[in-house]
Amino acid sequence: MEKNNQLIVSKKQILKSVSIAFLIGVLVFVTAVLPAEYGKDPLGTGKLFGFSNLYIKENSFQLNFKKIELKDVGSPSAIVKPLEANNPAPEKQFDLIQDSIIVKIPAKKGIEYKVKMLKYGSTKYVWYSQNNEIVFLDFHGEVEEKNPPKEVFYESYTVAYSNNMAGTFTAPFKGKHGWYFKNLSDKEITIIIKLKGQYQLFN
Amino acid sequence: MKLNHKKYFLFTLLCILSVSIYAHGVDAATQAFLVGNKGIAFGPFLYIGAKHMITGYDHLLFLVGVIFFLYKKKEILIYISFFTLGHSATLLFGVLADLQVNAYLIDAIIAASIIYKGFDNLGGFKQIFGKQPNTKIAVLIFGLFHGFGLATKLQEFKFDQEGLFVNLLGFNLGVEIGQFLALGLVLILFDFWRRHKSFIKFSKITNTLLMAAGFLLLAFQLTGYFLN
Repeated sequence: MEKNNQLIVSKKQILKSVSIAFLIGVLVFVTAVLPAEYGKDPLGTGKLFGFSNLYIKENSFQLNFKKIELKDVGSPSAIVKPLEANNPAPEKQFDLIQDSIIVKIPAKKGIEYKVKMLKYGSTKYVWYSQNNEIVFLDFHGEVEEKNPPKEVFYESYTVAYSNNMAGTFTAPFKGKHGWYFKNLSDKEITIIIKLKGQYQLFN
Repeated sequence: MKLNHKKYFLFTLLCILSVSIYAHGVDAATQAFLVGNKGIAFGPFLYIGAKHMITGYDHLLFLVGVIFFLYKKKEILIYISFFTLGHSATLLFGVLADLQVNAYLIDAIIAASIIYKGFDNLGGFKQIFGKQPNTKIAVLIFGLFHGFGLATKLQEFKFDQEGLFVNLLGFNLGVEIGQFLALGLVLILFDFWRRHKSFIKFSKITNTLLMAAGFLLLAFQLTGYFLN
């Protein structure tokens, strides 16, 4: 006797089993899997049990940022570089100092932090977001002008999305140099900046 | 003693469940490796193949269904050989011929294979349709689809063509090793369970749950297909 590979179950029982299996499958799918995996919540159970949070969470981890293009670098090309940028470098730079600065960026807002530097002055910098949040940033400088126009010229040194960056910066002209940080999230982000070099703080 | 078995079963079940949280596809670290890899890397591909099989619950559910009523070692060996033959063929062929099959549809067919096996174990074909399809051929055919599933998973990463064949063999061998390990674990559990009266008592429920899991996966994959 070879086979006893199946149960002896009545036709009615089998149909019942299939129906139950189908119901369980559909029920679990609609109440839990659909909200958690696809972010759709037809019965409101995803919200009720918190399954929907899984979907949002997973999605926010995707680094799906807008691609940065050449036109995003610096001020619009219509604004010409001020002549003051061509001034010679001073004989003496600012004294070497160091600072640690905390900048808080409100949700969905942008904030600038800049320091004064003379032409060819050099500063080491590092910045990072406190909880590794990724922000949009534009590291740039503005030429010091006697009569600045309404829309000032600025030069972008780095435009990027990051949670941390470091380097040495040598100012190409006298003026204000620093970062524009944009918070892309719904929560406040704290940025810590550390500087060491030939610069002066405002205020 | 009785309690011990139950505990053992529960523990193993928890292990399987916790592993399956990672579930399907390939995790981020593996993905980084696959994309960055250049040339021959037999060992890593072997590992990825084995890991994919052990953490791929749909393959495992199908295999549980297949061996559910197989008591003899020889029978188990024959059925698993058919399955292995099927999925090896399409895995190698799919990747080498660069066949692009929609992953959601393939996974939906794999989900259907789980429903089929649960239904078959309940004796549904004989009772309702009066005729049961040849189970060995069915395992072979679904093996072919499972292999396409594995192939599409690998093809999602446009990895280096250099050393492709060797890497593919490594991956395939890894799949067999993973299947062997997972199956070994399942067989040990079944061996314990079959000695109890509860096996026959619960086999109806178990196969119904198997079908339920199949329906769930089917809905999951089809929704994925229509949304993307």
